[in-house]
Parts: sequence; structure tokens; C-alpha cells
Amino acid sequence: MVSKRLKSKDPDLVYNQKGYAWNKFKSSWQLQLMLVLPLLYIIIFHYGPMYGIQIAWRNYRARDGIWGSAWVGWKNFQEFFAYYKWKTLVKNTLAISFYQLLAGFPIPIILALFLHVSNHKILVKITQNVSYIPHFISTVIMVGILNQVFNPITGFYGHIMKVLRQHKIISSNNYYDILSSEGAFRHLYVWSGIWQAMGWGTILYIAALAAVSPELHEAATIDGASRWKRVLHVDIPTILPTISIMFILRSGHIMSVGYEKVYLMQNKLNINKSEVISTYVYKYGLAKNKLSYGSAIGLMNSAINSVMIILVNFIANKLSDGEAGLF
Amino acid sequence: MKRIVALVLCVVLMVGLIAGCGKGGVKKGDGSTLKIGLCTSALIEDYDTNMFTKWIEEQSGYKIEFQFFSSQSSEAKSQIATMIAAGEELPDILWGVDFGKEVYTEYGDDGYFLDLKEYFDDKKGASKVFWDRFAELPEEDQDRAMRNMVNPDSGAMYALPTLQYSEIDVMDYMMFINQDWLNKLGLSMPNSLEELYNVLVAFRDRDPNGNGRKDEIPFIGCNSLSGHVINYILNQFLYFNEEKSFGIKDGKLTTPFTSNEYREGLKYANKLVNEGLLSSLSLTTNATTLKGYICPTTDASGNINDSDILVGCFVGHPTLVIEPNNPALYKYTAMNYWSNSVITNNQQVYRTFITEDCEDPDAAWNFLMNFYTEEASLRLRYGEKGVDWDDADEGTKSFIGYDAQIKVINQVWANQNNSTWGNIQSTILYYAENEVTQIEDVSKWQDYLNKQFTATHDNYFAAAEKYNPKEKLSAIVLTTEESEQYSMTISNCKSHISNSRTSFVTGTLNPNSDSDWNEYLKKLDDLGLKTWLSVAQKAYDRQNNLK
Repeated sequence: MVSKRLKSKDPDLVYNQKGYAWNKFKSSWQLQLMLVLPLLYIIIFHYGPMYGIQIAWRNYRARDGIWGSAWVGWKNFQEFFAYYKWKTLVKNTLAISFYQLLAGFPIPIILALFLHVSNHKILVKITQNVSYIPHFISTVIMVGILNQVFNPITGFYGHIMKVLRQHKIISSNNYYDILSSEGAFRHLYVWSGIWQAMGWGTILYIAALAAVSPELHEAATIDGASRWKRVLHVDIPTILPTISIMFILRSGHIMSVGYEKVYLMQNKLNINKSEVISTYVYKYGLAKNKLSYGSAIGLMNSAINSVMIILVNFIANKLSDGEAGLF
Repeated sequence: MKRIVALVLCVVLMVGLIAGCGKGGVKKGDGSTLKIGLCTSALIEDYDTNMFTKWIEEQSGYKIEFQFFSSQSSEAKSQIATMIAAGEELPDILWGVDFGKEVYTEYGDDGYFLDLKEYFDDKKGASKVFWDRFAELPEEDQDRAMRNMVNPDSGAMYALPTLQYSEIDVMDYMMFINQDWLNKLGLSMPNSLEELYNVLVAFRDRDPNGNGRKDEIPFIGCNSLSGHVINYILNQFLYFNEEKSFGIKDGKLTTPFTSNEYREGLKYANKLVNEGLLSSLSLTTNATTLKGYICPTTDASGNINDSDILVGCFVGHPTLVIEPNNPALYKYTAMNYWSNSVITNNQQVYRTFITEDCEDPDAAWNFLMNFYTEEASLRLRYGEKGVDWDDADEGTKSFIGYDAQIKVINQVWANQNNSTWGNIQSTILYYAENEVTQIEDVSKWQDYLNKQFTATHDNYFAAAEKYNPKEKLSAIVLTTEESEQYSMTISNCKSHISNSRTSFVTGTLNPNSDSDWNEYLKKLDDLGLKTWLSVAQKAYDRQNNLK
């Protein structure tokens, strides 16, 4: 209908003619109208509050408000580097983040490909549903489950050890506690996260795989390609842009490890590996009402994240001759 | 003419007011409504139909309207911080919200909370109820409360305090040992550090639970109330009160955490951990999980299997770490104490405030004064009088042998109920842990528990009397300026000390290695221990000159 009106009104309109853009915009105003809501959302909730960033350079007090609080220059930033363990914080954050990215990123893709390849429709549906369920478990319950399973005496792991002791396979009373082991913390954190998120993460890739043209597959089959070769040379290349965009977006979170799960999994013994920037901000920024201090650290993280996103996008563009990049 | 009449009326009313105050009791309210913001407790069925709500409304003469905040104090804090930042109206009274001193002082200085000094200073009138009950507290507690109630800079008083006194909760560690195992192995109750070590070795090696497996945990503690196993071990070597950080000798602050004795204590703890005598689970386990280790699952008839008992010696508050009616308790008896026994501070918290949005602060104050009566404190702790508890019978005793004042009919604390607010705030509660509760015709279980409590209490306080240093360190209160300036230094030092202590005990650092120990000391110096010490010493001197 829209195209009809366009034609009837201005039959000679050509692409490079003056006023084309405006006319096109006008002619599809119903569509543009639908864009207003998301636009408003972004302006109000994402750009609007940005003026508050300034409290990172102020000593924020609720009474004086954001504009009225005193300027303190770089004090809040310096304070972070005065914390004697700031290097450990950054190191832990990056280690968890990279581990999470490298181990967690490929798994939903692999799972999506498996589901796509399988011919057993019922099995596929069951697998999808089962693997989605953990996504709906809240963080608190997730950590509760970890605590229950890995308790060295009363947990599932404890019961296995009990049986091993019974059969004299283990002959020591040393109850090794995985949950408070420094070395195990990152693995527990990352792999429980993968278990929880992998099913949900496949949705996007399955949608992308559904868009693979059946003609390509038919042509490949006629040429004698096996199923595996078709995955390699038909499926993966088709979803590669999606993968690359997802990767670029993910790399923008490299400095942000959510505090809830880490905070819940922390204890006295694994603290050297489990204290990350966000938990520190929570403990010393929010809980002690030092909002300026928290903002300063948050802002620093965001700055690093922005640099990362631009960097990865640049690399992606270079590697794919400008096709896989986000912008 | 009208003006004169009005003036006369005013004067008459004023006189009436003053006379009313002069009587000293709590002034009865006029039925107006007060809005109270409180952190909810999951155990309370309904605050509106709550029996304490009804009682306090009737008692005070005010109506209550509730505004609920999260039961988690950190969450409630950010809810209120958001309200303040958004300029929303606060409830008249914030009841039991744990802001922490720095934050509530800031809110007070900014005017969000009212300065209540005027009311507190009116000792004969508006705050008579408070000061009358306050005078019953031990001098040391009064002293500490006085220091903390008043902001040292401005003299302002923003919070209504909650002051408790208990002889059970103040024991830093409560020790219990498996008497059954001692009997089985023919050992006697340990009376020194070496004997304790030998007993623990026997527990580990001689299979006291008789199941043929090497699964005994000779010694374990927990990270919550009265379960501080590392503090117990350190106090065998020197007096170390973690709460106060410093020690005191001849008016000068000392640093126990840099001393040789402290290092010896760490060596001993490290040895126990390395040899599988002290479980490193002690550092991370909370009381609820420890309960699962101590109390094996019972069978259908409520019995337990002896071979399922795993724990030889535990440190912890028995009501927290023992499953009610689990027969495992009968295996354990109170241990002897033969060295320093830290008595921690009684609980004193500052979590109730009258906000600037309160239209009638006098009404809010009068209302809150009703909480400070003895009956209100008992109702907050034990529930509805005549239903959940009542006055004790004549001549009865409590389990530690004190004259009983009340008898409990129905245990509401820590149970689902609708007769308390699930939180004890803005009151003065004397004997918080059943020290004056009449012993009823109790069950075997409760009777046993009471006996162990008594023994622990008596042994503990006797040891504290005998061994603890005589010179006591009072609470050190920094000015706002000081705490702002040095908060990073102090928190760096504190966290380094506590992290290193854990590392030395679990073996990440080796207390026997001079280089590890010196590095710990050097790092502490780098972080500004000297600054912290001198600031604290200055504050201490300032306080004692004031006195």
C-alpha cells in the first residue's frame, strides 16, 4: 500500500533525486512512528541519565543533588588505585571474563548446530526445552544448588567421598572443599554459568540457521557433500555474520562481571580469586553509600569496555573486508 | 480581644504540656497516625493484625501505618537511598534499618534524620523512660553507648539505640567435646593445649565412631556467632579481641596481631590444619551447615546411628549448631577453659530514626518511648504476654541459677509467629538469652542444653576473670573527619590482617617461614599501620581526658 502511494504521487522519483530521503521518510511514516517508542526509551533511560556521570568527579551527597555536590577532581579515581589490592581485582575480573568468553561463547553455537543437524524432531524439542529450563533459575538458587551439590560432607559430592572411604579407596579424613578452593573458583563459576545459559543462547543461532536456504543444501547434496561437510561449508558460513556480531557485543562486557553470583560464591578462603571489581564496588561503594566512588569505578569499566568493542569491531572488519563488523 | 484569648489559651496549653511532661511517664497519644518504615521479617504473618502492633497502638495512643522495606538490610538501604535521591517522602519513623554509622551520620548531617539531642537531654521529662532503663545497664555498656550515641563532632544524636545485655551471647567461642568418644577411647577431658592436641590425634586415628572409616572430624568451628575457632586458638597464646583490633597496656594501644605470641598461635592452628585435626571448613561454614555435620539424619523413630557421628570437638552456639531434639547433643559436653576467654561487647545497634518528613516529631518520640519500657522489650523478644509468656512463678530459678522473672509458654523467637515484629529494635533488653527465664518442666533435650549452657557460662566467665588482662580497652570513636580521612588506610589494614590470618592458618602462607611473616609485617607497615595506630591512640587519649 505504501509503495502504491509512492508511485501514484510521484512516478518519476529516483534514488539520487533531491528530496528522495525526506519523501521516503514521509511515505512510510507509520513505520517511523513505531520507532518512536524504542527511541524514547533509549533517550530517557540511557542517554538522559548520562549527565549523572559527573558525580564520578564530585563528592556526591543526596542533599546537594547531582549538580550541587562539590567537585573533587580525580580523587575518586585515585582512591581506587590507593586500594592495596586493585591489581588483584582487575586481574580476577579479566581472568573470569576471558575464561567465560572463550569457554562460553562457542558452546551455544555447537549446540545449535547439533540441534539443527539432528533429524529426530522429538529429541530436538526435548533437548531444547530441557536446556532452556536452567535459564529461569535465579542466581541465589543457582548458588544454593552448587552449595548443596558440592558440600564435602552432606552434599552429592560428599556422599561419593563417603562411598569411596567405605571401600578404602580414600584413607584420609581430609574433607577437601571444592567451594572454598581458590583454584576451583573460576571453573565452578564459569561452568555453572555455561550450564545455565547454553540452552538459552542457542535460540538466536537456531533462528539464524533456519534462514539457511534449502537450495544450498540441495546443491551441496547433489555435489556429493556429506552432512559434516555441509555444516562446515554451508551452515557455518551462513551464520558467521551473526556469530561475529554476537562476539563483538560480548567483548563489550569484558570488564563487567556481575556481582550477584560472585558475591554469593565468595568466602574467606577463595577471596583472593573471587574478589572482582563489581563485588568491591558493591561492598565499598554501594553498601557504604559512597556513590561517587562507585560511579568512578563504573565509568572506568565502561571506558575500557567501549575501547574493547571498537577494537574488536575493527579487527572483525579487517578480517572480513568490512562485512562482519557491527559498524 | 480574639488575640488575647488565643494567647491565654496558648499559655494554658503550654503549662499543661510542661506539667504533663513533669510527671515523667510516657505521654499518651491523641490517636493520630504515624507511618513506620521497617524491614520485614519472613517469620511474621501479618504486621497489621500483629499482636505487638495492637498492643503498642493501645499502649501509646497512636495509630500505625506501615511501609515495608526488604528484609535484607543492604537492599532496604538502597531502597531508602533511592527514595532520598528521588526526593520522595520518607515515613515518619524508620525502624530497624541498618545504615551503618557513616551513612546515618551523613543523612543526619544533611537533615534527613532529625537530631534528637533535645529529647535525650530532657532526662526528667521526654526521655525519662529511656534513661531509667539505661541506668540498669552495666557501667561499661553505658559508657560505650554514650560514646556511640553522640556524634563526636557536632554532639548530634540521630538514632534511637537498641541496647541488649546478655551473658550468653558475649562469649566469643563456646566449646563442646564429644564425651562419648572420650569414654570410648579411655581419655579424660583435656585441660591444656598439649592434652587437647593428644585428644584430637586420638579422635583422628583411633576410629572412635567405630565404622572402620577414617572419616572423623576432630575439631571444627563456624564463621557465625560464638564459633570463632581461630580466635579460640589465638587466645591460648595471647589476649586477642578481634572486635577491638588493638590491645592496651599502661594506657598505650598495642598491636596483638604483630606479636610473637600471635605468630605462635598461628603456627599451632596451622599445625592442626596440616595434620587433619582442625577442619579448614571452620573458616567458611556457617552455623546452619555446621548443624548438618554435627547432627546426622535421624531414622523414623528419632534415633541416630553412632557410626554416623563425625565431629569430635566443636565451637559454636549450641542453639544454632544443634538440630532441636537431635540425640547427637547428648554425646557432647561443655569443655573446660584454661586461658584467656574473650568477652565480646553486648549488642548495641543504632537503627531507628525519626525523619525530617515527620510532621509531629514529638508524637513520634513519645510513641517510640513506649518501646523502652520493660514490658515492651519482653514483648519484642518473647511475644504476647499471657499467651506466649507470663510472669515467673514465685521462687523459681533460671537455668544459670538466677531468679526467674518470666516463664515462656510458647517459643516464638525464630519461629513463625504473629506476636512480635521479628526484630528487636529501639529498646533496652536485659538478659536477652533466657538468663532469667524460669525452667519449666522441660524436655530432656532442653534440660540437657540448659546444663551445658550453665557449665559453659560458668567455666567461661571464671576463666575470663582469672586469665584475661585486667586493663580494659574502651570503645574508640573517631570523629567524622578522622574516619573520612583514614577509612581507606584502616580498612586496608583490617582486611590485610584478616586475610593473612586465614592464609597463615590454611597454609597459603607459612607461619614457620620468617620471610612470609616478615613480608606480612612489612606489608602492614606499607599500608599505614602506624598512621592507624596513632589516630586510634589520639582518639583514645581524647576520650580518656574527657572523662
